[in-house]
Amino acid sequence: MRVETREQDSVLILKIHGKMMGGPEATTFQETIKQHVAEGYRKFIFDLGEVDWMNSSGLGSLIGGLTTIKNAGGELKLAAVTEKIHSLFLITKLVTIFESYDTVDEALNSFPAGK
Amino acid sequence: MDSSPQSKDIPPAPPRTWAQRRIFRELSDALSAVRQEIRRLPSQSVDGDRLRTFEEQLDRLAHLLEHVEDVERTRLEIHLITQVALSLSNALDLDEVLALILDSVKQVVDYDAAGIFVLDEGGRVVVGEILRGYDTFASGKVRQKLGRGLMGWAMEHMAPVVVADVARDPRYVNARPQTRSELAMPLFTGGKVVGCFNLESDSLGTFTGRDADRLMTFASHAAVAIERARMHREILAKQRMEEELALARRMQLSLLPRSAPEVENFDLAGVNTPSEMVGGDYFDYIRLTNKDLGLVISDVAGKGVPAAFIMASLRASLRIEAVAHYSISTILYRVNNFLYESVEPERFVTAFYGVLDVPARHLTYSNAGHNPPLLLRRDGRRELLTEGGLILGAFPGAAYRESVVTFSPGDMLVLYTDGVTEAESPEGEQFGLDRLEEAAREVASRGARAVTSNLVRAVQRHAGQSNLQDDLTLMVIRCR
Repeated sequence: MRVETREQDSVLILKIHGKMMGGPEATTFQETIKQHVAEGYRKFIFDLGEVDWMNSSGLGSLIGGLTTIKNAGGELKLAAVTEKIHSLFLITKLVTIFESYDTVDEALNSFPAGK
Repeated sequence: MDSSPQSKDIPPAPPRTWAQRRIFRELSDALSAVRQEIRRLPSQSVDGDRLRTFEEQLDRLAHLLEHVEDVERTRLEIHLITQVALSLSNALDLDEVLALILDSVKQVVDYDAAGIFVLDEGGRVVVGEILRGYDTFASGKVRQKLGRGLMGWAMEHMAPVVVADVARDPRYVNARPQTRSELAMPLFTGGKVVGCFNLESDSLGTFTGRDADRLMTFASHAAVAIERARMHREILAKQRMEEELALARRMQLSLLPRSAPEVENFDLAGVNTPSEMVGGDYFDYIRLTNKDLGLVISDVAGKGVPAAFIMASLRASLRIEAVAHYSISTILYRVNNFLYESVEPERFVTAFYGVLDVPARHLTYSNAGHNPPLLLRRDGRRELLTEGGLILGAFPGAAYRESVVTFSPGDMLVLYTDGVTEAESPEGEQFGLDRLEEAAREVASRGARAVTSNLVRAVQRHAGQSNLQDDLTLMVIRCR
């Protein structure tokens, strides 16, 4: 798992590559999100288009990220959710929890304009 | 007494260095005194030629003395190095070996302060593993960021540094106020730096290139000791992890039912086949009344001890709530809140819980984010039991809906965890629901036990046994 981070219109976009699973990478990922929240970011997009595999621990990472962001009063949107991940969301009923968009641009536009 | 075979190889008693040094010093003092006495003799009373011969002989004597001292010093070095090598082959304690090395070096290259520093796992910090003469670091181990000071230079350039006057060297970082000169030697094994040997002196120009040469063998022994200790720690850590996994496995097993209950109208079977990595799979039968039987299958996200621990929490809370409350929605609502309070949000549980009304052949159930069980109808239809709500333990206050299905004789419910359907073939193809249904129907007439066994075999065949990453957990409820 590799994470590429960029900022656009005060939204932090995290593009995740590779396998999303448990272990030290997942811990680092949680730390990174906490760090960004501490830096003051409140609007996040996780771009999942390059995630080629995800297990239940990977799903746990998404939930952990969402919890951290929501607890700080922030918002998280998902973009480019693959079919495989979508079917995981269906089984776990997480479709009702995560707001997801086909593209990063659509996710960006869904944030209200201005601050 | 150590009676190991090595003791026979211990070299003869060490030279008594302190006494020896005194003898050398006294001999050379005596030589100088004789020279001075000769110079003081009135010149007319001495034959010039005889005096020169006498002085030449004195020179030879002085030279011989230096040579003998050198030989003795080398003998001492060899003796000490042999001792260090022996301790290296006997002792496993790193500090013990490094202490012996430091104290041995003291007899060969005199110092006022010395330390052996070890690069820690991340390679960013050196830790003073063993120290002599640093008052400021009297207690505990010293940690110092890598890349600074003479040690930093020596490790970065993989070469020893001898500095005659530290005050004139810009690389020097003051760690000990009295220090005037210093010698730093990197320690490496297999071309990789593992630490640094550091000697400091309160006098200017104490150390020479010759001292650096002398230190080399001691340094290589220290490097071997450090590397060996690291490998030993790794083996211990691996052992501990295996023990923990075995413990988690025992814990998990002790919480699973040993056998399926005998009930009218139904034939039940359950199985858990462990993988190398212990998972948090759980299945259970809970007797609620003389006609109602609770059925549960669940999977904890993650592996190892934490997963086994959460599984135990889930089991305890579900068993308590299942007996205390009638409504399945309420039971899952309460279990979800309990788990939410007990575990981190990134750890969650998927679970399917149902109550089988045995005489009426009804199953009332709710699915909390678990892989939907397959209801295989006798006439060939397949239904997925998806009604329910969110995974457990991740979000507080989630609501769970219930649904009811009715069995007819010959119908069969197959409950499973994702280890079954997601088992991959060497080509990367998942086992999937179609294979699951096929393997279940194939032997359905032979009873629930035959179905679970056939399913486990089918998954193992599909994945190749060594390829299974996850526990396989299955329950089969077949209506007679």
